[in-house]
Amino acid sequence: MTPTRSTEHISRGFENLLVLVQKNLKLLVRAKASALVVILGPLLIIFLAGLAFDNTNLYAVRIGTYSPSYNDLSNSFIDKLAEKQFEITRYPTEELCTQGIRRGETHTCIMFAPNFAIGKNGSNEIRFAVDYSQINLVWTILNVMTTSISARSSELSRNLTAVLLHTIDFTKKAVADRKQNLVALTTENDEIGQRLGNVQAELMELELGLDPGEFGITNLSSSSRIVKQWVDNSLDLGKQSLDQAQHFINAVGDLVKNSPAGSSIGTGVTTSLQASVLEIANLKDRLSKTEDIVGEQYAELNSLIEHIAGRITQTKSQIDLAESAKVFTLDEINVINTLLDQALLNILTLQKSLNEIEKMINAIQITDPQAIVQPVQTSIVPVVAEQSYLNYLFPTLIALVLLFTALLLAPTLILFERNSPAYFRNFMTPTSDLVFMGSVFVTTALLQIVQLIVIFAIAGIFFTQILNAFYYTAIVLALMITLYTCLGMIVGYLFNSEETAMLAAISLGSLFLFISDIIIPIESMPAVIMKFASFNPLVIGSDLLRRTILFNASIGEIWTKMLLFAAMAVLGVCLVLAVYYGMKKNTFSKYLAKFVPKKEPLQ
Amino acid sequence: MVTAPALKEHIMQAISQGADKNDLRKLLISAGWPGEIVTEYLGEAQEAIAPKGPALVKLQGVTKRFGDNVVLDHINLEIPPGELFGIIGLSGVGKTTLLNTMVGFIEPDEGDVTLKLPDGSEASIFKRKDIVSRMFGFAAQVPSFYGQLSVRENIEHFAALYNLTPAECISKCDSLLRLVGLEKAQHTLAQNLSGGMQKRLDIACAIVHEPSILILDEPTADLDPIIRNQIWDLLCQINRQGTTIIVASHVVSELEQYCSRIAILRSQKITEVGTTAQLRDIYSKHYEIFLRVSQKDYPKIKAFCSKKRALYPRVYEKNDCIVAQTAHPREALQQMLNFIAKLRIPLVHVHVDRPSIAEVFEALVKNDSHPLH
Repeated sequence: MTPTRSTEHISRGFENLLVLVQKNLKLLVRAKASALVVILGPLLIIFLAGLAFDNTNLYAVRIGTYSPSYNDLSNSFIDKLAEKQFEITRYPTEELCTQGIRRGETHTCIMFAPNFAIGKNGSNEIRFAVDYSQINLVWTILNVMTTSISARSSELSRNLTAVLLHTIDFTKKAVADRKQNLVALTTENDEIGQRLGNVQAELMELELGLDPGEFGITNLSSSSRIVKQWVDNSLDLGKQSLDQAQHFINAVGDLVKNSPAGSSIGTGVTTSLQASVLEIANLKDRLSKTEDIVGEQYAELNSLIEHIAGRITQTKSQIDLAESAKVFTLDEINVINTLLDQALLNILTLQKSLNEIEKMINAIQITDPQAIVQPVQTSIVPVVAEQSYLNYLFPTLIALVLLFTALLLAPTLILFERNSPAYFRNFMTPTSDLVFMGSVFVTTALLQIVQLIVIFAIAGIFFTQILNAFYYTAIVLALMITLYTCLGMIVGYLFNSEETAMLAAISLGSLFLFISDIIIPIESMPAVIMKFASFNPLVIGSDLLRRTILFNASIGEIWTKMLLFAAMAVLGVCLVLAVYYGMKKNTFSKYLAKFVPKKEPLQ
Repeated sequence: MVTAPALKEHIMQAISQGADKNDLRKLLISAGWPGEIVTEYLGEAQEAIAPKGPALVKLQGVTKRFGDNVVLDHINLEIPPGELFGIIGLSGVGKTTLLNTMVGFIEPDEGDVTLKLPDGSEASIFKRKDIVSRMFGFAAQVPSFYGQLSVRENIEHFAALYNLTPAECISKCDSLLRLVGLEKAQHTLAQNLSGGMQKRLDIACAIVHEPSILILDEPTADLDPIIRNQIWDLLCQINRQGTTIIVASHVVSELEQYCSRIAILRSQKITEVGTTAQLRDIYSKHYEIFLRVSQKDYPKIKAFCSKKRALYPRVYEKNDCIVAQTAHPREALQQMLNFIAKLRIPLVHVHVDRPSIAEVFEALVKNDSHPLH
């Protein structure tokens, strides 16, 4: 082929391409259902997503709470959540609270432990019941819940720490004050020791020995008995003398009486005798009384002696007791001395400890409760100006729109063509297969570009940041369109019916969606899937878009990924060609099979 | 009175001078000539004037199998340029496969399809697909165009794909719209056209690139008789412009009426190829005299014919008529009319005919290898 013919050939190819693209667009626009689904569908999705994510709050989150007994603390947590404009519903039982989630009344249930209070181990627990089936919501809810709860916990912790710090401060002052007392205590302890030494010495000198024999109580008793005996003997002798005297008198009297002289004389004598008898009787009486008195006095003396002996014995016992007490006291003093020494040691240790405590307290530099509760201040600084979730989701939404538009539109066009009766006639024309493929590609790409223009125009109202890295963004978008369209075309060429192709396209799109970081973080996926996800065109595309749109990345920062993406796009094109030519014969045979007529009667 | 040989001569002359076959046919029938005779003579005239040079399309030993099922078995066929060639066969016999093979959509397992190129050389269509796409126009059984494009858009679309310039596209579109009679409907969406209009649009799309050969598969299927005639008129018009037309159909009567030659496809083979007259002659040399009298006194007529078995080898009743077969129609008809005149029975209807291709075909299908006689 000469260069002129080659140029002419290419030129005709382009003309035919334009004709086919024009036809495709007309058909798409006129097939209202297809146009609505394929063209407006993704736009509608992003519009709704935009409305849904154009905020940074979760106002519509409904929270159920249950506590066996609400108190100030639990109420303070609930109030904190209410401040966030969450809808709070209090349930009477824990079961109803969790059922509320199942019934869809609430998104989460917060259950406070019975007697929920600070400082009671095990009872200051807050449990969250969440519905993990709402995987997209659960993390957000948990995040918001725990943030709110943490805020209240931090507040409580700050208050407790303030009390603790106040106590430490008081302790510091008290330690400083009490240190003097400890010094005095040491001195006093020393003095007590000395005094106890004195007492011990005095006691040691104290003699408490007593010999009752030294008092001669036994001799005194025997002497008294001897005296008593002598007295009794003397009295007996006196009595005998008096008896004898009386007997004599009586005999004299009798004699006198019996003597005739005696009558004259006898009266005098008798009177004298009678007086003597009386005297003797009196003496006898007096002697008897003396005997009684002596007896009594002797008994008293004996009693006194016995009393003295008893007292001496008692004194001896007491002195013995005193001796024992002295010994005991001395022992006790020794113990006390030991204890005093120990106390002194303890005092010294205490003093040392107090010094150390004082030193340590003095060494505490942070005295702000906030600083202790949160020693490290963390603050999240958005790398782009925070406006709304849409801002962050924008690149992902773009990638999703492009992916799903390509995956739905390309197979639709291919199967629209293949299932059209005109397929046969197109096949008859001298138009290259590449032109047909190109027309599908260009039509799909054109519609994606239209969608992008609409999206960017709308997005431009909300944030102007998108235009910062226009060229790089455009390159990324071009690569995304290429790769995604190729994927869509592969699906279109692989399947023969529109239904199965749509199913395959949606399945493929869903697969990309599920193994991307849109629903759950890639990092939380199993290693194998994570590896696969790193080559997910949706992940790479949205990441590149995020970098160019949000971070205004330079080519130096994204060239490796962009190169990978470009390589994937080239691979996509090659795969399209391979699948097209691989399936062509089969496809055409199936097409022809449609024209095998049924048996009809001969006319 | 013009005799049959004279009529044949007249027809031959008119056709050679470029008279329209259909117009001529209508004229002759309106003049009272039996339709079958007119058709036969027209076919013979067309065959006589048809170029006898090398075939434009040549099928040599074409065999196609789908698995164990042999659909085409060593088909040999030559179609010269300018011919309106018909292929008849029962539904499902392989007509569409044969046509698809002719245009190169299906590659045969054995054999080849060759095409005479404008430079006079021959080339296999499977090796020169570029030429095929330019020389062939194809109208499949199902109209092949975009229902959601208008008539004009469809024609312009396919014209553009055949690398016509935009100006050529417009001009070609206008002329085709005139040709197929869709000028008024040019902005109507194709899906909203009637069946006949859709067929005409399909034909227009098929000839947008002025192909040398137009192949049509069941072009009048599912159409009413008036539309069928319109379609055939259109095809004859295209054929007159020099386009070779190959039509496959199971509507035998139409092929018989319009085609210069017909091939019968049965049992995976082209069993017969020829003009209608030739095809009839293969199976029956007899004419049939159809008589209807008012009193229907057919036993007497039958008895009369039975006495002259040599002249009337077979006599039977069919559709309130008595039918007498004869190899000498003029003599037989004359004697029969004389006999009826003697009986003084009013004659209601009389015509002389030959077995139609449909009857030949039906007989072929029913009796397979048994001819009518």
